[in-house]
Formats: sequence, structure tokens, C-alpha cells
Amino acid sequence: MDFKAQEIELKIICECGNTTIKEAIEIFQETTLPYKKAKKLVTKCNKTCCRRPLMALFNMVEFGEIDYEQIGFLIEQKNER
Amino acid sequence: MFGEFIRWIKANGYNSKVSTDPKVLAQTTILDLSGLHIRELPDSIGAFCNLSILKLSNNRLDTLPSSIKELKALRNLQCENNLLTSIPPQIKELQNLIILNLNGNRLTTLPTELFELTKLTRLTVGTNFLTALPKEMKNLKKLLYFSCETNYIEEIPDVFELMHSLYFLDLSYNKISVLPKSLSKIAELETLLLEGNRLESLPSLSNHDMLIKLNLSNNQIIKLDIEGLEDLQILNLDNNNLTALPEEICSLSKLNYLSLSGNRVERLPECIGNLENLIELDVEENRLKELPPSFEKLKKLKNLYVQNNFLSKEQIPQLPSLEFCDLLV
Repeated sequence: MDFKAQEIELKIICECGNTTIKEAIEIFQETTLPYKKAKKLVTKCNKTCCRRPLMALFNMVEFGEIDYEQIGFLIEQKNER
Repeated sequence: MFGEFIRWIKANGYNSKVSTDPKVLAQTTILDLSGLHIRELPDSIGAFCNLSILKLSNNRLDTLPSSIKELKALRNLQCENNLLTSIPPQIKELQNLIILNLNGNRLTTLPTELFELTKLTRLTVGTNFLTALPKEMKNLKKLLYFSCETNYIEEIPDVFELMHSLYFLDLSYNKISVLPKSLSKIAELETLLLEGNRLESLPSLSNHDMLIKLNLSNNQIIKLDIEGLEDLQILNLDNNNLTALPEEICSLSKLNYLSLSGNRVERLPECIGNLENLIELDVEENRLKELPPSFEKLKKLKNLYVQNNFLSKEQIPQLPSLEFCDLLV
């Protein structure tokens, strides 16, 4: 993993749960639950918050390859709203 | 003809992804410039008069050059995840366009000229800053797929009257409290996504007898009318204000997936066992004290989510098909 990816990995993916991308990846890797339930483990809430970056990350974990730059972009996109 | 474009490619180091051979470029029908951090597209893009597919997604474009109008043969334009704040009105010249993806930009309005692209079958404008859709959208009679999820739209204009072939409609995550009457005219609708709006009730969906997937989660729905949805396979009602489910739900014989977590449902209909094709049921976070006896007839049920009700492990029937129940983990 390059330096930029390492930097992005420490970004908070969702204010709910105050979870970093790295932590969210670990949670998604450890669960077999579907997105709707796995998401709650990350955000610790029942809202549909941070949907775009979280859903993208969940799919990337399932696929087995993380595009950190893309996740970083989606977090920025969410924060601008 | 391609001199300026080739200079731009070389100057920005895109050579590894795009050819710099003028002969190759002249015959190019698919141009993939996605994910290159491009901030500005040169006017010379207009030289690609044979281009059928242009991929510009995942860049940093804040505008498209007006020379895009020269791409008369373009059928598919992908601009997802950029920083576009406007679409040039010249887009109306792309009369062969059938797919347009503008998801994930910074658009606050769509030019009315865009709705002169009457061959469009697939239009996606999700995750922008749109507050309205123009009434000219009614011109897009050939639309098959439309998504405007995650915007700030309060009112959807009555534009669906002649969109008989639309099979996918995603209006999720807007601020919609009332749906347009013409929604009921979409005879071929198979997927209707209304998640994350302000709906308290729905117009009759009885004309949508081809509907397969209906997502109404995260609204304020108190009462449900689901009569006539005989093909429905997926129904999501999470996070609403439902206190009960109508008996009619038991007639949805093709239903595979039913989710109503985060409501205030106190009991499931006695006839719930009629849902013989149900594979997944999510009733987490409700007020259930018991499951009806007919529950044992759900012979295909694999996944059951029942946590955060007033149910104990002992009340979960032993279904041979059951692979996962959150209360039994």
C-alpha cells in the first residue's frame, strides 16, 4: 500500500460511529452480514448515513480490492452536502 | 485534425491510456478518459466525430466544453463523479445519445436542452444538488431507466404519462412528500425506489402489476396500500411509522424479501404463512410479542432478523430451511 493510500485509510468514513476507513474495512471483513446490517456495526446507528462511501467500501471489501482514492473522493463528496 | 488533442494527451502524460496515433484516433469509437484526474477537457475533443462511447467518470471536470456538440455519433456519455456545476446547452446536439450518466457531480439545475435528447433510454443524475426537475422531462418518452437519487428535490413534476417503457425509477433520498399522479401510468415499472423521502402515504400502486422491487424505507409511512402487486418479490419498509401490516400483504405470493425493521409493528398478520416464497424476513426493532402460528408454514425462510422486539429465543419456530436468525446466534 502506498503512502497516499495509508493516509486516506485513516480518514473518518462516517461521523456516526467515528470510524476510520481502516476500521470499517476490518469490520466488513469480519462479518458475513448483508450490507444493511454490517453498516450498523460501523456506524452504530439505525440511520442511512454515509451511504455512498460505506456501500462502495462494502462492495470493494467483498470484491477483494480497495480503491482508496475513490473512497476518499466519496467521503469528500458526502462532506460537501 | 487530432494534432491539438495529441499534444494535450502527451502534455498531461495520458499516453499509456490513450493512443497518440492520428490514424487510430480517427477510427476510435470508444474513448476512455476515466480516472485520470482531468480538470479540463480540451476543445479538440470535438474532433472525434465517430465516437460512440465517451468515458469521463472519476475526474475533476467542472465543465464540459461546448465543442462536445460535435460528437454527433455519441451514444453513451459517462461523467460520473466529477465536479460539474453545469451542462452546456449544446448538449442538445447529441441527438444519438441514449445513455447519459451525470451521477455524483455538483449540478444545481439541468438545462432544458438536455430534455431535447429524445432518444435517451437511460438517464442518471443522482448525488447532485438538484432542487427540481423540469417539466420538459416529459419529452423523454423512451426512457427505460431514470435515477435522481440523493438530491434536494421536493416535488416531482407530472412527467411520466407517456413513459410507458420505464422499468427502473429511483427517486430515493430527496425531500418528496407527494408523488405525481402520472406515476401510476408507468405500465412496465419493475423497480420503484422511494427510500429516504418524506412520504406519509402512497398513491395506489395497483396499476403496477409488473412491479418486482419496491423500496419505501426511511419515510414516514403510516398506512400501506399494496393491492395488485402480484409480481412483487422485494418489499422494503424499514424505518417508517407502521403499527401494523395490511392483510393484503399475504397475497404477495412471489415475495422473497420482506423488511420492516425500525417500525412500531405490534403483530404480524395471521396469514403471514401464505408467503410461501419468503426467503428473508427482517422485523428487527419493532414491538412484536409473538409470531403467528402460521409462521411455521414459511418453508423457504432462510434468514430471520427479529432482535429488539419482545421475543425470546424459545418463540422462534424451528424451521428446517432457516440458516440464520440473529436471536439464535
